[in-house]
Amino acid sequence: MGGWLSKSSPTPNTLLPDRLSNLSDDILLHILACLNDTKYAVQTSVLSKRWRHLWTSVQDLNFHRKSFFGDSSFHNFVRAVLTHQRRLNCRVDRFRYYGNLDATMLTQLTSYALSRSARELVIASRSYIARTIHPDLSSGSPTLKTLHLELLCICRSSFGHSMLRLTSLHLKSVIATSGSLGGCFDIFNIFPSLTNLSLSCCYLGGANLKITGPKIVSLKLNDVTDVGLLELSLPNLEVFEYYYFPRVYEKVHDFSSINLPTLRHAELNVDREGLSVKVLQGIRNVESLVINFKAVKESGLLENQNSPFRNLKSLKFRYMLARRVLPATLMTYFTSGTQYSQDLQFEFML
Amino acid sequence: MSITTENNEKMITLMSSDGEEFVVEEAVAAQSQTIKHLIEDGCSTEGSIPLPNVTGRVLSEVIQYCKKHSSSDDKEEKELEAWDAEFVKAADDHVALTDLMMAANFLDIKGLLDLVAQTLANMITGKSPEEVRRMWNIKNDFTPEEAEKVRKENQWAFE
Repeated sequence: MGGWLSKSSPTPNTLLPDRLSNLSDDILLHILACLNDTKYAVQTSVLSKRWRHLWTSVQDLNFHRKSFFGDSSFHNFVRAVLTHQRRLNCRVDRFRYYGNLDATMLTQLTSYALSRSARELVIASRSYIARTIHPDLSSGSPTLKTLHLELLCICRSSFGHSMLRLTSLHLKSVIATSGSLGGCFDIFNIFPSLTNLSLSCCYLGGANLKITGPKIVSLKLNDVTDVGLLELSLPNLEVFEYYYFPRVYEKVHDFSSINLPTLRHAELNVDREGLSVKVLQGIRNVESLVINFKAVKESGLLENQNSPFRNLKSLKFRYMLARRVLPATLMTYFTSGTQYSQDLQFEFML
Repeated sequence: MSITTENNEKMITLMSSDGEEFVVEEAVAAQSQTIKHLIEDGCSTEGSIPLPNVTGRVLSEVIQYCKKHSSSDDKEEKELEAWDAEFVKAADDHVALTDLMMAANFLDIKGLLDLVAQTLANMITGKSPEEVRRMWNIKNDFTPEEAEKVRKENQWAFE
């Protein structure tokens, strides 16, 4: 790399001009946003007069409970920022909150972010108590593109009719009851513009889960439990990740239909109970597939089944020793149907 | 002045503020939105594109970055990340980073701007105001009374 960078000799600091403060406001705000923690951005106010009010124009707000000793000092900080005079008319681009909260705080956070046209909203609760409170995002925001909720409760009215522009939704450890969802969690109905959907450790209280939508290209279902019928009909889906290890007391996923005509990559991290022929049929158009070897190795499931994979180019088995020989039934099931059998790539990984 | 190479790549010439000339592929230079617009407006057809805000030594670094990032469509993302990390590490010098930041801003190269901003932010994170001042030679121009007042205004950020 360029020699000019390394040639700098140890100049006494007092001789160097203050190049950081001389950068333009725009550039400094960009740097403050990259601090990824509003606490540190506010702390720059004491550096010099140049820095005193700079942070009040930062459009990315990031609140992390872990940067504080206790809940009360953290919450005081958050409230002080949200009610700061100089911030009153300031737009917000990304608003992220990671910490404990109660219903009042949740309302304050969401209405602040939505009323200031946030493009991204993350509210990640850190306490299981919060699983009884649900956000009210129904006032809506035409600008909101990305939403991430964690350890909260949702119901149909959480979203209202306001999520028209949302393209990315991530729900983690979120619970809902069937009644609160009107018996069915219908993704397209609530989020018509969605392109990326990730449901992780969610509990649906027996409600059906209907994932349809022409724009969705990426779907991740990671341990979604207590769900009624599952319907996946996604004409443009490219990537599907499906992680599922049903507990003994759980009813296994029941797919009413799986229609994924444009699927290119699938990763199935499942166990025997979590796998069904229907799922494998559903992902038949994949070009590359990663699958948990333990799920299929002793499964009689695949015997006498025709290989559905016409486009398979790459197949990876997870949790499999490299030297282990693939049982003939499996080999036939996965590889005999593909038009690319000549150059099919195999990989085994632990 | 536009030259064409054997590969039929259109070349353009960029001129730094100190008169140094760099001949680069148009596709490489066009990663800068500023240069891209200049080309579209026909500023590159005669002579070289002058970049009055960027010195030759900074421009050569910027071009290195753009070359790497224009040829990397088929490369692994991880490899590119590692390259970026090395790139800013080599520039891990306050003067170089702030110059690079100004150039990325003027030339409007989003990837480079984000990369350098994040590097500078990382250098501030977790440091006390005194440490940040010393590191960047920032003069504390508050009177003791003002300093006290500002500290009090924002005391909740220091708990």
